[in-house]
Amino acid sequence: MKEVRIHGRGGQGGLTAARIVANAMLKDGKNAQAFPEFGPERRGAPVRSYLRIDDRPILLRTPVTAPDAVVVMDATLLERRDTVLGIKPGGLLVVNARECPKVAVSVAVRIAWVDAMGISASLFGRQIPNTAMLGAWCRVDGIVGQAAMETAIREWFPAKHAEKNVEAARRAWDSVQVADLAASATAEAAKGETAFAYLDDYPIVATAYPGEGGAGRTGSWRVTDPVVDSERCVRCGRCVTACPEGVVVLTEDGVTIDLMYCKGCGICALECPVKAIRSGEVGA
Amino acid sequence: MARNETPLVMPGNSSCAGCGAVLIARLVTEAIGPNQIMVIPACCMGAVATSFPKATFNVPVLRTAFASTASFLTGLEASAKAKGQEVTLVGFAGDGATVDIGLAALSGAIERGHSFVYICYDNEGYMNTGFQRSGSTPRGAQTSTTPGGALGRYKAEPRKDIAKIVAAHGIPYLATASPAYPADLTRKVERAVAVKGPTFLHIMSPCPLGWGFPSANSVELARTAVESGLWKLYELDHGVLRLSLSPKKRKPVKEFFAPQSRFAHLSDDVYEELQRAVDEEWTTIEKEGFSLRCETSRA
Ligand SMILES: Cc1ncc(C[n+]2csc(CCOP(=O)(O)OP(=O)(O)O)c2C)c(N)n1
Repeated sequence: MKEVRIHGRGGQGGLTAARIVANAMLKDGKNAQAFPEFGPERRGAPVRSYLRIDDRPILLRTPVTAPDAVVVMDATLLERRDTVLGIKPGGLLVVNARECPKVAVSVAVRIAWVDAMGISASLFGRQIPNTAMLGAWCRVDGIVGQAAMETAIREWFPAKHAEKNVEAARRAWDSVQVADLAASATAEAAKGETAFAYLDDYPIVATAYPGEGGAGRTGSWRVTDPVVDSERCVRCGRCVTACPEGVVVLTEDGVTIDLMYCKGCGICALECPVKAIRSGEVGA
Repeated sequence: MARNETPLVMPGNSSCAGCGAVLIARLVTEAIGPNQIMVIPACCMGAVATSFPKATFNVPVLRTAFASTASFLTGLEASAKAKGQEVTLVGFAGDGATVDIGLAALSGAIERGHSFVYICYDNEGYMNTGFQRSGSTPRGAQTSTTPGGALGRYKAEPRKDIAKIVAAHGIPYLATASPAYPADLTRKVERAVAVKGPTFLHIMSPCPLGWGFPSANSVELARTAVESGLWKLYELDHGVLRLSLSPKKRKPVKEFFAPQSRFAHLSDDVYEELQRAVDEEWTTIEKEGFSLRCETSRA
């Protein structure tokens, strides 16, 4: 049996990717399972999906804890220890990243990376990296051939979206890179840890303490950046009160926005009465 | 670092981009200040309140079971009294937790007259678990349990009017508010804190993901709801009922519905019907004054 775990954020389409591969495998006469881990359904929240493939009927109904492959739709999720937890020796780690990501694993694996972010932004104008990640993953894993993968994508999406998604998978298929990743000493020390090992650092009561970045550096969720024109700004503070995240503040120089946490919702730009804020390209 | 030195709502929390509820939570907590204890049941803001081991609110928060916000407020009031502690007790709950499963506890706590500020942020559905219908979902909306089309019907029933239900208890202070009118919202929260006894705020909370609109439009949509006459801003202060705002020239209600994918199936006939209903309501208000009268039929 082959087991795959997909880590993403709500809205990135991880489950869809698992289902597309499962459909391709079913057509091939194999048995397959694709299902999400149910939890909060908020956009941006970390979510997992699982995929199992076998020649024999699959009776397991549990989450995948010892994956042959881990697909990471959002590189910021590598900050969480449980993302690579349990990956098998010689397994495959596929990450949405422009360069080879830095990640500590306790066993030697193959690591693959592809700029699914860039591919998705250029084709869809927003972050839906799933079909690009699918292309990269199928190529390096070899579970599904390119033609079967493209057929499965076309069958999944309505006609008007199909070709763009096939194109995303194709670009990733062509551009994915692979390297060997050795087991690291720090991760070696953490071997045998459970996903909840960090609880050891806290008293055994269900208490959480105020801290920023509970959901990580949420600035990475942005698909557009707020760009402030200080010349135009009349310092009315409308953007400050309208920002859900509370990351816009009025200073002597006008308005500043904490980009580490700004999720890029765009409310400040829309609410500004003098159009001193606009939504620009990320990182421009 | 570009922001408040000690924010009461921590940035980098797990709310969606453009979330109306977390904006309301920020406006409310900032209006009340640090001397408060919040009670949050299972709902989106319950999930946002903690990403263990980090907490989002910089004030004490008790997270309760889905139905028991008002029961916790009752117990906390007793405990604060016993300790001689002066602190504002704030219930912060979604519409499901308020108008559906938590209604009995809320009704009991208001009737017993405990002192608390109960905020219902109304995103018109069970959003945390994937956009199921609630008693507060408006008629005609598509939700995951009223999917419409070949899969079943859209929501056929009109929404429960929680503010009228609460008003019927003879509550000392009740108000509706909107994140698009932060000064009005802040003033009402401050008034609720000052009033002795139970107080209730019903606040419209746009949900980009559940309603299906771009995250940038959250506040604008909340404003359109008021400007079209759909969401009325008012308060009931010790029996005196006042509209906080009567839109002079009302926007067409279509401007509120059309940008949301949950209403994508509405035809122009339905828009005309909805427009007529709102127009009639406001004509009555202009003629006879604003009242919380209950219609006899659930049309
Ligand atoms: C007794 C019980 N039933 C169901 C649930 C699952 N649950 C958690 S949050 C939620 C929806 C909450 O809806 P609402 O109160 O409207 O708040 P929102 O999520 O929309 O913010 C449900 C059904 C639960 N926690 N407890």
